[in-house]
Amino acid sequence: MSRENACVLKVEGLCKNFGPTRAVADVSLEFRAGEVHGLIGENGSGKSTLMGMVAGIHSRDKGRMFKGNQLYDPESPAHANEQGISMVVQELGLVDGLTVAENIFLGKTEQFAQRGVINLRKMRAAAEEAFAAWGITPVPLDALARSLTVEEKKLVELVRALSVDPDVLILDEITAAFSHNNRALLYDLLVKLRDQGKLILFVSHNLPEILELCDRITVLKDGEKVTTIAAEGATEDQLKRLMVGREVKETYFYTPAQTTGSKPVLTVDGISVDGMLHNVSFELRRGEVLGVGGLSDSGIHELGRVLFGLSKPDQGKVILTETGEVIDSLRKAIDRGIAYVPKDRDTEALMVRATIEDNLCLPSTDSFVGRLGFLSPRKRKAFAREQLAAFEIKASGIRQAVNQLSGGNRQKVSLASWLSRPNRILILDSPTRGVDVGITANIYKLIAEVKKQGIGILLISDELPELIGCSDRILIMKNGAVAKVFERAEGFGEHSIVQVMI
Amino acid sequence: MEHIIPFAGLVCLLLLFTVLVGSKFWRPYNLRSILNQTVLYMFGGLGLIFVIAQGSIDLSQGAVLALTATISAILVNKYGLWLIFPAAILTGALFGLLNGVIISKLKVPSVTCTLAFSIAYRGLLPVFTRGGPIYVPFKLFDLYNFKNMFPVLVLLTLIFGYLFEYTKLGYYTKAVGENEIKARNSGVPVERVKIISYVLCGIMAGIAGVFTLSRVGGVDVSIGNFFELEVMLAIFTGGVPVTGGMSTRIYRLFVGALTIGVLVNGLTLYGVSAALAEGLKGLMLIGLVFITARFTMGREAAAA
Repeated sequence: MSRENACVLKVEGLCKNFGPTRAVADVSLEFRAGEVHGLIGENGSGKSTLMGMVAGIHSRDKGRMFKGNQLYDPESPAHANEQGISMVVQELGLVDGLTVAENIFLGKTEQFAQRGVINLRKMRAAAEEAFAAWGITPVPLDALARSLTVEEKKLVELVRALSVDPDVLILDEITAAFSHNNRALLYDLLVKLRDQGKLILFVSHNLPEILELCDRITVLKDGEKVTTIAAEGATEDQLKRLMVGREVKETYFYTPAQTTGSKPVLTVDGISVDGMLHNVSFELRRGEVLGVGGLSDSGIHELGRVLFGLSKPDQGKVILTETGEVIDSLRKAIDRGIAYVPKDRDTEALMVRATIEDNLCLPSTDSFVGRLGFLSPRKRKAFAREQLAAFEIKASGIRQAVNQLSGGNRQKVSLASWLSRPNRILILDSPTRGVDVGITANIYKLIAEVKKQGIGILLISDELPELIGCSDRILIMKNGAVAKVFERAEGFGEHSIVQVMI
Repeated sequence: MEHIIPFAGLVCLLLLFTVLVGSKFWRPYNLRSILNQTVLYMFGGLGLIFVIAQGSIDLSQGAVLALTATISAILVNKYGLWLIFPAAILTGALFGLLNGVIISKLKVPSVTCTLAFSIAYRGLLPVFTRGGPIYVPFKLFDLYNFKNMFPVLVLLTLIFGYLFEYTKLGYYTKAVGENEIKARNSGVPVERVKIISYVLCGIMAGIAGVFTLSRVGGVDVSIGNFFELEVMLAIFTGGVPVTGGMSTRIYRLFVGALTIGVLVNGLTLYGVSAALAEGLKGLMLIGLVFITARFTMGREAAAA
């Protein structure tokens, strides 16, 4: 895999501070043409900031960069684009009120202008061509960006980055939002670009993916470069050790469920939602992890919303098996002990500007109400402190704002706010998305603990290894219907599961 | 850190006018007149802060004040003075309910809905007043003095402050302002919370309307003009974020209202024209917001 090509991009002694926080400290790296270069590190290790400096998003406090033999000093992302460097950022970077085609060529529309008027038809055609040329799953070109799913948005951002025909393409955690099929497409595309002599800088938490795809891997920790190694011959455990600085063992904490004689807690009976779910039926048992997997449009995420009462099914019922009660509203779902941790953490699961205390307390508000509706601040504080300690959330205290926490600790806050309630059923949608290895292991441990309490867990995930590692049964969905249920006793073959998904 | 800025602003103004105007500023009569100038906005703010906290806005509070005052004045002239508070509170609540239902159930953005109602109510006003002013009984004039208003203010502050700071209603209201989706996911009855906020806002418009009646002596078409803007100025000067949320505190309303009251009063005593003093009010808000933003920006960059 590795080839000795010319150095296309070099950074020397890069430093960046945000206020008192040191984000990147004295990083020097050389990147070669025709390589996929992986960047890994825990949340907050400086990957995104480093890439942001290369892409002209962040200014540098210190250090120099060279592209080819020339000094490279980007003033803005547009300026970086002109010099052949483009990036897909980790956060969403589209303008909500513009169409897909307009978003792709935003800031580069002169090429379609005739006497100052932009030829929208020409632009649309160019966008269509771009999707086809790069072999990327098409997204409706006239749709407004706000109507797209997170995955579709990421595809549009990818096309936008490719549309400048870059020599250096930076992808920051793009695959976290991708389903299985789009990941496969992306890998093929990246290999093709590499073979054309381009440099791809690839940031990801997904270590198997990094090992599979990259030629060389750079590990960052606390803003400093730990090392750069060849991917060939490297192992996941070795990478984890380098990232965390200590041994991380056993990521998955699977303990067999007491399935013998275990009763079902939730019966899903013929659920249909127009265009998204078709006649879905299954049972969730006490103390089991039921994994739910499938491609992005298979309806797995919608299923979670229906079970929690967030979406109303057109047909069918969600029934609490023990009492026969039908769950038809969100209020009922919460009151009967169903908890739901949604996948879009910052937009759906957290109040990011508010304190940890408020985020932890909100779902449990009813338990703090005393006489005359008095909502005791003392009780709230005590509760929040307890949860902060119990879930080992790394923070300066319960008064810290959630947007000052790393992604993994944010996810812990989101989980803790639900797990601290008396639950019967726990629905987790992509709980480890964008979370580093240390905290991912933590979350798996939590799932195992919850399972021991006899709670039925529905684990929805795009990560097949995660489903295989944690589940007692795996339900695979395809085009909104249940395609097959795999039992652990029969063994989960990754290959046979993928066969059913596609 | 940024929580202190509005307080610091008030303290600076107090010091400034102590130096510029001297003991005249601290005379009880003058202090009472500052309170008399600001108390109406405090009344309005006790309701509006619920709406601001949930991330919405009510541009119709002044128009609702005008309409409730007019309807109450007509009813009082017909049936007697005892009706004044019940009439104002009930009609205010009804107008608030209308706002709340349209915004939460029909999903009309709050700016659009309340702007439309503000224009519509102002347009309706001459229909009720039939061109001329409506006068209220002389006895009502007594209401507008410090002795009567202060206990009412304290009582309402205790009730609304308790609701806002120490009950589920207040907590949920602020949660909606932080993140409506998260609030709904956590079991907050978002629609109900929104409706209640607008009802409270309408009730306080009604009560402020009663005191306005007693101050002016009657109703004409200009009553309550710019009222909601003055109330918002007080709330934002006190350091409440425009987007609402958990950091909204009821004491900020009072800090803001007093800051504005002190500024206008001090400037007038110093001999600045009333028109210029009004202009400086707006400039001061921009200054405070700017300083607050500087502090918050520094902190957020550090977190990125």
